[in-house]
Amino acid sequence: MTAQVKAQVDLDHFVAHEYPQVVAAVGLITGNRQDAADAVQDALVGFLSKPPTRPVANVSAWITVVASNRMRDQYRRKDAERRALAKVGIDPESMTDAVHSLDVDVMAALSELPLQQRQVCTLHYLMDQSVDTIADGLGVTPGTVKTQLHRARKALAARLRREDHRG
Amino acid sequence: MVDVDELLRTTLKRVAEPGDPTGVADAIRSRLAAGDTGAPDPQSSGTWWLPWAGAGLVVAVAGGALGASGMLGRPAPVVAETMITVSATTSGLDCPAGSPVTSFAAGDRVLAIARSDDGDFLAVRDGYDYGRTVWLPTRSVALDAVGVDEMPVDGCLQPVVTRESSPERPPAPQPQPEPGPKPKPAPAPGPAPDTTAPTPLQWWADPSTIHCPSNVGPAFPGTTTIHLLASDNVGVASATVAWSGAASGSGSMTASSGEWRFSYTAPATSGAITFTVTARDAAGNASAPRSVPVTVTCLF
Repeated sequence: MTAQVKAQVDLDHFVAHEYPQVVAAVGLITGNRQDAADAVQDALVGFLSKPPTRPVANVSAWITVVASNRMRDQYRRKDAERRALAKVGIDPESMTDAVHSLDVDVMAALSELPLQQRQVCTLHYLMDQSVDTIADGLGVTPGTVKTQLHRARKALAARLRREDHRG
Repeated sequence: MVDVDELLRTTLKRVAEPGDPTGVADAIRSRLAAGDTGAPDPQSSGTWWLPWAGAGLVVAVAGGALGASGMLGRPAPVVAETMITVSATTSGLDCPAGSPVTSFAAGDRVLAIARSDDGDFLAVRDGYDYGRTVWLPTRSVALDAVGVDEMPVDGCLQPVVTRESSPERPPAPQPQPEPGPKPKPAPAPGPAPDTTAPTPLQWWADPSTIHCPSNVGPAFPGTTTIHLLASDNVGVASATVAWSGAASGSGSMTASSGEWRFSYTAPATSGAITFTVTARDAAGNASAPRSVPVTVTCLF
């Protein structure tokens, strides 16, 4: 073994403090809350059994991205109907009265973004991670994260203005 | 005009549905102990190890034997790793023919991932310490699937330094090398000096805003706890905290529930305080310092 990297995350701490939000993030990114927990656990097992050689301080971002990528790959193999349902982003049955219709617009707009933009948006706006922190978790430069965030903001603003004018 | 930032922040938080952590850690531990790698089955797409294809992110698997070829978005080649059954009580060694670091009982199931040059030893994942690889004599195990010859060959390039109290361990023979990029130790059966500094994983203050003594009440906490979570190849032996601000000072953190903590009571004046936390291992290697900001507010 060349680099025997010790597991870089304390499992109990991660599960207690970060797991709930990572599952929430993956659910939002993929539009499928049911499978999010399984995907996150698979990614966590992967992280612990074969840790990335690059040191990752922002484990939650890494897990979020790996789990949501994996779910995307699974969707690609499934039928179009399932994909179309997932794309809506929210299961209407599961929406409570407290969730107003603007949420549906925002989630629909988010679901139209490319995967990477959805990932950075969720990490940034749901998990309150800074650009630098996200860059660390994904192994990209802060500039890349900024670009993705900027594009996402622009696309969302345009899309939401359209919703505004719709009626 | 739509304030996209604010809208996203509030909407995502309202819509998000947190996962339930109950039982998750135990479930993951048992999967790891069973040799589960969390990877999708070989027929499915292998791209999930590459979070952002084309964005410059390369995620590699640890362990040279598993190869660099699995990380470029193609399904990983079928690696000849296999579950094995330990057939007699035996010690897990830090290297082929090395010192014992752990023990296995007859019937234990572990994942073998490589073999030594001569095939006399197999590298297995230690089910109780997921980041660690230990070596077992081939004669005391039974392989499930592949033959010993099909396993990738690996050596003991980086002897795993383990518990200091290990009685068989001779004193470290070499002086500490210069800190800096870690030199690759030559294959050797003995332990190498520990030159790996601890890595801070997470650091935070809870709460991050505290109130001066005259304000303290149910809604105005006057004390914060500085937390540090750090890992080390051997073990984090101590952690210290120092702070700047109106009244600077320093202190030792206390180990508690797997992390290091320090309790701090707000002074009588408002201001920002920066706490700097540092972890050290028994060999004296210090981690990079990390900053934790805390705000002290005196409303009245």
